[in-house]
Amino acid sequence: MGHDVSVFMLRIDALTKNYNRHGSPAVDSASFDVNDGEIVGFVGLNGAGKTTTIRVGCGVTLPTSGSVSIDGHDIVKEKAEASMYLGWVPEFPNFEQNARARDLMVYFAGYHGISKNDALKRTKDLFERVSLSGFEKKKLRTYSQGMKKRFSLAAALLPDPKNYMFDEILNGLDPEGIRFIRALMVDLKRRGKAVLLSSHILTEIENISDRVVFIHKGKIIKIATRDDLAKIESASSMLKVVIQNLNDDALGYLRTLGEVRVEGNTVWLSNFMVDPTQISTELVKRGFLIREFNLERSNLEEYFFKLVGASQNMLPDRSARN
Amino acid sequence: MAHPILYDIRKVLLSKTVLISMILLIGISFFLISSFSVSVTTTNSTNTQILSWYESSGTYHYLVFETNQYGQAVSGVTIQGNLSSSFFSQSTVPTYQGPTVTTNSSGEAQFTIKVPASDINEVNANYTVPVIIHEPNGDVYSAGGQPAIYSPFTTLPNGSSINVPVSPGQIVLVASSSLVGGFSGSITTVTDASNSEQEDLMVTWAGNNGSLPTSYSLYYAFFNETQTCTTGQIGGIGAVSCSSSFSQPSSLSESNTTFFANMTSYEQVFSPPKLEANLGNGSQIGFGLFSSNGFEVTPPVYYSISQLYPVAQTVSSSQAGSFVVSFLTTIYGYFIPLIAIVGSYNLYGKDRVSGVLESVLAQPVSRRGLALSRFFSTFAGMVIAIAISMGVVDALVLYYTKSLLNTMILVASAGAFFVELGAFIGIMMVLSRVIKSSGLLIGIGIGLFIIFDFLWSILILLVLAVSRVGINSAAYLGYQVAAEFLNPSQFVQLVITYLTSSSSIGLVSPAKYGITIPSLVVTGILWVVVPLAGFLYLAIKRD
Repeated sequence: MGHDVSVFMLRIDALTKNYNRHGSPAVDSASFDVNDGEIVGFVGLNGAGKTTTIRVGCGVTLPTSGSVSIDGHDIVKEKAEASMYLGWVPEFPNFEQNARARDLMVYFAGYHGISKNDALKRTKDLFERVSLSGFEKKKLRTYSQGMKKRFSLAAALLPDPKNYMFDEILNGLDPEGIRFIRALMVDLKRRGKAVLLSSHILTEIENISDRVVFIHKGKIIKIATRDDLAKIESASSMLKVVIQNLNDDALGYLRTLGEVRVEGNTVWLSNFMVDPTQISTELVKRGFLIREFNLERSNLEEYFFKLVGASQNMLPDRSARN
Repeated sequence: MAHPILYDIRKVLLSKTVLISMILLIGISFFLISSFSVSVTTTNSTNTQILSWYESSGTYHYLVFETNQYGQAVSGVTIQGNLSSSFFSQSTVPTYQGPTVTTNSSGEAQFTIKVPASDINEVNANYTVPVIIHEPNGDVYSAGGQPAIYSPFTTLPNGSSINVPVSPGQIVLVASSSLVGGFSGSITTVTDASNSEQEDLMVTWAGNNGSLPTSYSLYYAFFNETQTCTTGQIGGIGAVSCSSSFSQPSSLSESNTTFFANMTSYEQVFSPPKLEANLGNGSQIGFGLFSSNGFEVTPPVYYSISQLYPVAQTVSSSQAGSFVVSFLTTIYGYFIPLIAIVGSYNLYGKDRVSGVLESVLAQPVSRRGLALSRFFSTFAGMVIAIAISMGVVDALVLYYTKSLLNTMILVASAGAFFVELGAFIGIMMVLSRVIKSSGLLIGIGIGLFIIFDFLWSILILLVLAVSRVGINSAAYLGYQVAAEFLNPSQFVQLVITYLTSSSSIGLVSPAKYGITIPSLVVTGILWVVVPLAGFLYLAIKRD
């Protein structure tokens, strides 16, 4: 990558995790970074290695090799220091069932050196933010899965760390919850936090991520920036034009702009570099009667599956879990 | 800062496992101690009265002491004695009334009854002394429903004396050799006021004409047992049966005894003299009271050393103190591994296996720090719980027996319990790191408890049988003791064996089998440190 280490708030370097000595690694030499004020989407199929990467990243699982550093602190060698700067929301939050939510928040705060009074005040504020007001004194066994996710988010936000790892945080949330998370991400980015966000909901990743890390079968197969995504978008977009009086003149003009495929009166134009509005204006000027003019964009999902398809041929088959 | 370890300790203390265990321990203690104490202890309202007397010119002088079961003076007891004929049918024979007197702060009261000179011979021959005692709490003392009546006059030949064992609630009259200028006394035991398991020596004596016994001294000598052991078969299993014996001399002399104490008052309580080393369980100690001219004024009194030195010897099961020791070493000894196993499972193993612990591990804490924190909070929480329950048990013992537990037994047992606790917590935490199923984890834990607590002896017997180690061989007991070193749940037994020279398999010499303070300390440390080190290794290096 060639960057200065201090730039990266979250750095995953040649990370490998092998649960089974005789099986394929769940994560295989994965490397990527997340900078301050950056949201990095983490995308992959089930079992691709996203959750394992995040679990190793937040220190709850040990790596087989490689390293993860948080603000320059190794998550294995300097676990306490590294965790001081990291908030983690797991895919399936699991807390002490008989603990009261407020007590557990105070308990977690103790590890961060936050006083009880301060922790109680922060808990009140955070529970309001994550819509858990009134549930502070309830035992966590009475919480639904969605409420546990909100509680987990509140716990991650409690010490206001500089970095976050969110593992499928959008799962199990209602539309209002998803909107809240989206706003939260933007706010964290605005406040200069580094966020690694794994999700199956690729439209959300596409909308808010500065970069997207694609992982498949434990390997990082692509790291795309927003510019890369924009190019992918334009390169993969298709212009659908239905011309009532289609003839060779029209086709000749369109072939000068890009690749053309014809289905009756419908022309599919791809790999064009001209503004679509200029195309429609020119066709009308030339006397063609346009019945439909539609730009069909390629989304992240399609791109992801293209990547997976491509990598499928390159990577050896695996039977191991992630 | 709300320190997380305090939260963890509080969680341990308030966990159902620990609370139920404490309630069970205290409940069982209460039930057993209260029911047992009824039959072996006395209350303050039951006292011991000691009476001595002499006659001078037709005046009978009586000296009365009122003491409680600890030999402590009881004041305010009203006593009234008469001289009456033992021939009840002879109604014409007069009864000589004595005055009513009250014991002073020394528990002492004196009264006289004057008899006409013409009746002295008749009184000496046929009269008795009914004594009616009114205790401060309103009780009128009587034995067998009747006022206690003793007649030393008619039963004792001149020149002899008797010793009547003091027991709570019984009037004791110690007679003298002569009606004129007589003296009386006794040597007996009372319960130590500060330690219900300890017996003290109470000596009562009056000099000539009721004078203070300042010219009398107490001497003692130890008599070692002669032990004879035979071997045999019990239910197909070899057994060693030992008996001990020695002959009690009918009299002692100053030359073959050791000076112990001078008498300075009518009634004195002494702690027993220092125990000699290398005495068998059946050894005895004899006491003799000597006048200034070296004459033994009472027949010697013998006590087994297990009675006077309960810490050094196995206490008889008939004593309340031994019950408490047995209780601590058996009930607690059995309970603690179970508490440690179930408690560690609930407070660590279950969280670890279910993944709950990950939410804590994600906090700013090192793996070593979290592992140590969980180990010590579980340990500390349970130590506090057990200490509280032991404190309550001690308070129960105090309430029922008016005496606290023996400090050495209490401290040594507590230390052994904590080793046992630490060992089983460590073992369970090691298992928690390698077993992935909650059911399997608690199943294996309970299995270990059953093996260590109940099946260990059988396993050792089987191993020794397979190894063809003769049950009657000298090595047999050595292997048995070695097996106790290898079982954390029997560490308490090792400590008790060291303190009492007696194990569950018979009399042993602790040092001969390696049961010494250094070996116990090293074993205790290893039982805590080795499982803990294994747990730390797995917690830090394997995940």
